[in-house]
Amino acid sequence: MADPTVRDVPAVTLARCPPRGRINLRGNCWDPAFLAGVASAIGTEPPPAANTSRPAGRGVILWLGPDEWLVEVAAAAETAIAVALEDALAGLHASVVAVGDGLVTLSLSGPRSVDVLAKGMTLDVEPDRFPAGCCARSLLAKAPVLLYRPGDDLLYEVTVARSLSAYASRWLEDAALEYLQPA
Amino acid sequence: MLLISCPWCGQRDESEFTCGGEAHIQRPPDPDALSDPEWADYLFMRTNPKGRHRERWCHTHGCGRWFNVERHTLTHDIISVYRMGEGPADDGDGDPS
Amino acid sequence: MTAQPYRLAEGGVIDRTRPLSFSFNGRRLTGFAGDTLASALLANGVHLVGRSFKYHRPRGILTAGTEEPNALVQLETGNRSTPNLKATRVELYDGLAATSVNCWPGVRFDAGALIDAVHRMVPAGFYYKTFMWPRGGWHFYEKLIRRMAGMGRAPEGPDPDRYDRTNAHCEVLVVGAGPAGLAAARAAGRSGTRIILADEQPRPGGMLLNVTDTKGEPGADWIGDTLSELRSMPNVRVLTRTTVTGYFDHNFLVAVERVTDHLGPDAPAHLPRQRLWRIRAARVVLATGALERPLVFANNDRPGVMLAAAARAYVNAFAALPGRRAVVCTNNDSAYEAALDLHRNGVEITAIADLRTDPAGPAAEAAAAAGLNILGGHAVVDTSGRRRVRSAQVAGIGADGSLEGPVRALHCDLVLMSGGWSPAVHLFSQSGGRLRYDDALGVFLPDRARQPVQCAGAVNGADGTAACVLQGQDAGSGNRPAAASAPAAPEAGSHWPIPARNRSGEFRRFVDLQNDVTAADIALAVAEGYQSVEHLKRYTTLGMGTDQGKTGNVPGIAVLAGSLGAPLPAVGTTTFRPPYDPVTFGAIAGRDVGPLADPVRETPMHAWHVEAGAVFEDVGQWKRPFYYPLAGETKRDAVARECLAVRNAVGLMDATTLGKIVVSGRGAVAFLNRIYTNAWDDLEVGRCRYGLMLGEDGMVLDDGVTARLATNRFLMTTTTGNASRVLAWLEEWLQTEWPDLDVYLTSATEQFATVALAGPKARAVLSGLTSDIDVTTEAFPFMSWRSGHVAGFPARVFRISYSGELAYEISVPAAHGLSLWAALSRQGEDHGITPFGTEAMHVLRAEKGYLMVGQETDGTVTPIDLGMQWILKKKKDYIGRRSLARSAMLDPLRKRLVGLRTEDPELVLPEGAQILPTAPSGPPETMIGHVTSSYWSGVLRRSVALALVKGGRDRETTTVHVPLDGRTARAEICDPRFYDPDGARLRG
Repeated sequence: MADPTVRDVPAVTLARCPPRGRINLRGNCWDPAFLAGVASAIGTEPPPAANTSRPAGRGVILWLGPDEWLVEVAAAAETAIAVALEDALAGLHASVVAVGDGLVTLSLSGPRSVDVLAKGMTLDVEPDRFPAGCCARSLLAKAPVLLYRPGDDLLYEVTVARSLSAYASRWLEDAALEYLQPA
Repeated sequence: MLLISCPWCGQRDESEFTCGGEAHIQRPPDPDALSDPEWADYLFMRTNPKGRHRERWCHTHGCGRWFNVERHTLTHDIISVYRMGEGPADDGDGDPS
Repeated sequence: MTAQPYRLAEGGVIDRTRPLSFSFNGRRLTGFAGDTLASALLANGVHLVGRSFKYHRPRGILTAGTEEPNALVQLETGNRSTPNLKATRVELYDGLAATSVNCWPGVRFDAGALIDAVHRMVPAGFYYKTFMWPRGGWHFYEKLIRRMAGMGRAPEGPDPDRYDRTNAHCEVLVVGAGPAGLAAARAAGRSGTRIILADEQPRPGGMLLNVTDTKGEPGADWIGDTLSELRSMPNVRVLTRTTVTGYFDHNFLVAVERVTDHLGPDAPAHLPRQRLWRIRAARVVLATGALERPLVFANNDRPGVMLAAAARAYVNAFAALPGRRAVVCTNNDSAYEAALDLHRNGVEITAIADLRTDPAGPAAEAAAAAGLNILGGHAVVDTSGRRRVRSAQVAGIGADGSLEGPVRALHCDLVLMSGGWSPAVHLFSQSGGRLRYDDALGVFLPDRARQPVQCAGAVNGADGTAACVLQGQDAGSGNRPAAASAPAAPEAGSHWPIPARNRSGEFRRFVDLQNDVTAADIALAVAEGYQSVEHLKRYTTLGMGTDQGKTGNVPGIAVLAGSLGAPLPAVGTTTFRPPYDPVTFGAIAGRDVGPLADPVRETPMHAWHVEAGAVFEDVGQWKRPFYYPLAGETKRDAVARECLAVRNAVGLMDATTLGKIVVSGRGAVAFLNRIYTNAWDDLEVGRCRYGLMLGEDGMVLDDGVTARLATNRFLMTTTTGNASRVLAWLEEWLQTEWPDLDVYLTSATEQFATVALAGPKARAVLSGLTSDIDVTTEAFPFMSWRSGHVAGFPARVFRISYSGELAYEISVPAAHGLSLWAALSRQGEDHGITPFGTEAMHVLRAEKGYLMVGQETDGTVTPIDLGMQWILKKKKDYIGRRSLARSAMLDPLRKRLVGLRTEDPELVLPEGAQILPTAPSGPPETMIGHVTSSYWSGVLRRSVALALVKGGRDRETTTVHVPLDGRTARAEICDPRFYDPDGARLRG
């Protein structure tokens, strides 16, 4: 018989995460007023370093670009936090757009998750190259994605446009097939 | 497949980028002041050097930023990358080899 | 079970406890696990394996590896059939079925061999000289030639296997797991960084696997120790059965791993058959070894003529005897080792004909000590035997390179040849590295690298295992490998080709065995002026086979140099291009096939459309409902019904796919003024406006409606297919040209589901689903937007119309899209609400003469051509404005948009049809335009068409002619607004 521990921990598990609130935030991170405004609304300043994230209350704020971030919060809190950000940033050159409905997050976990991602991504996603908290926009096969590794576990979140989520999900399932023993 | 250093994100695969052609071509501030040939020159004419070439690229599937790349068209060596509004680190335009 | 008469009782890597049954050309044979198809055939005494490409000459097995030019087979049948595989590389599995290529009806009796009898009529450049006559005749000849020459056959149906493609990053990629590669990987691996070691063989070890007596140098034990150390390193990945086939810019390399090829059709279904590795390496060590060269003597292509090192590999690694009585011909020492190993295993070595006049040194001494007959200054000058070599003719070669003394026929069933070794510089050359010709070694060696790459071992000229290991260690540690040591013995460089004994008779001396290029072909090409090595290659096809001339190229260059009287380095090599070894289309495609070939984008309402039986249309990557046929309805019926529902009652359409961009910031108005042709300053909050976007060349790029959400916030819509292109275009202007403009752009396309509700009953339907939006025309006029709730969902409603009817576009967060659609459907039931697809939308807008970007426009059409001068700002600048003032843009004879009314109202003109000013009179016709849109209009009970015609509406009321299949239609040029030209309906 196969090693029971192998059966207990699937080589790779793909799941669709429940809906989340998400806010696309644009602004000038060299402007102290912008940093303070964001901090007052979500509890933390936006991370200035490329491909990094910061916890923000019960959510997280992810770096997308030098003037662009994604705030992830509970689905129910999206509107309130968007309003709070808009209020806090009133008068500044900033943009707050709720985008939670437009995105879907897939999670990929297990010892072979890195191998599955590598099939579709040119990013170096090995654990020591893509450490906990790291995030990056890139391509998974032909779909633009945001990759995020929330913690030290081998768990990666792949956030993709809603309309592409079926494609991305089918693609990842197909890529994972060789690591899943047939029943 | 080139490996391009985005000035914000670091080294990424060429597939994440879009090439926007020759850099440092400024849109004439008063197009009406230009003759048809002058306007056509701005619109259509680009240099196509064998050697060092300054291009602008966009990290389309990354941070979304446009930036400049100085690339050797023969060897594909990337001599420098610099952000919009900046000049290249080395202003020489000789052959690097 | 048949016996394997040429199998040794012991030795080799084969597993004698696992016999495998296989068939070759229908004949059942047996081999062992660990065999290649070639070694199993040899163990069974099968030498006649295929026929040559051009002359259909009997051919055998020349090599023991990837460089094989002759032994090509078709593996398996049906959908899994693979053509042109090298028998020397196919690993044996139980039930394997292979057939020869290039022969009909069979390999022993091949009708095509008639060509061989008339070979003097088919010289180099034969195609170019013969089949170009008469003019146009090529199309006739081609079919015959393809059948005669065709190589293997393509599989008969879709490939049933899975293929994988993956990306990898490493600090050091080592190519080749011979002594140098293993040593390099171990040295590099000890640093703890990520290492990939790739080797094309099933087992690491390289040439060492073919050696039994290592004379005190590293051998099997060393391989074992090194491998176990490598396997203990978590940072080292060893890939076997993996050929690195391409070396591209910025140290990007492509390799193909044959994951289950060696298991045959019974391989586990969940595993990929092959995997394409795309490797980005900080540093590369090439330990690709060297390839033995054949000698160019008359009839050097008969089955049983084999490279010396290949014979050694078959005896030592596979315990298969390639013959019992051998004649050896060489110009270097390495063949002596092969001769000795064969001799030890019972093969009678009749003679060693050495082109060097006085062979000396340890190799010759050892051979002499073993009692072998060494003939210095001799060569094999011809062979005989039809399907297998029967004798070799040996003669002396004088100092001037001419034949000297008597020719002796030596009876044999095997001729071993060695023309020296060519370093496998293919990947180094692909990487952009330069080669240099080393006179002492007589080889092209890697010289200056252009990328971070080092060569180690035989590819770098190292001779002997110990030297290879040392170079590998250096390269693996990142040091420059020590220079190549002096060769054990100099090679004879002046015997390309070896003279033939009889100039008037049969004496073809083959240089490229796969493409049947002979020394005489090269001489002829030179005489005809094809003297550059690149011209020679294309004229004679030297090195253009599936083996890319791995064995024949350097001899070919040598023969060319001889013909030109030029030194070899002056001739140079042809360009080495990827792939090093053929790559299957399956591996290149990976999993981007079938349903995953391209992303399919679906709206939140997709499931409803599927349920309703919609026929879908691809718009970009989106699946959009094209029309919704009822039972028994044709497309024309369904579309007409949908259109009439919108004109007379109400229809609903999924408009989710339109691009949406939030434009915000203090500079938003200035930005819109620059990118749209019209002005935006006076647009009030709550209102929206149609905008046209041009390229800087003045051509229409996109159009759409933009709404002012707040003073400094707008929502722009784009066409479905252009959504991402427009966003990128706007970002480019903002970032590169106008960084001082305070504007942020955010895509909101995916955030909202949008339903277009159109028709005279649209207001009634909407008012029943909202309590906080006043839908009266006074409170909610045309070209305005309101926010509130629709069907209980937070919604933004635009009163805009693309159909010419009273219409609303309702956007809700995407998660509610399906519920909104369902609620509207229920609410509209009493009004006869009808879902309509993109085709009805096209008809409705064409009836109104509305432009469709991508249909009326094709990148060469200006707003003036479309009759849209009304949307162009007069004074202020915008993108494309200056181009519209160019003299050519003002030419009244440019093609301009018109309507077309066919004389026969039933006739729907085909889109793209050409328009003539007069009845056709025979080519060349004067063409003045083409049909851009053409539909059956249910409401008008006639066809309507839009067209771009020179002179445009200046031609109104004139009749034009549209040639169709076999007849000509007449049509009148008219106003493109066919229906409700004043727009009363949409404002109502």
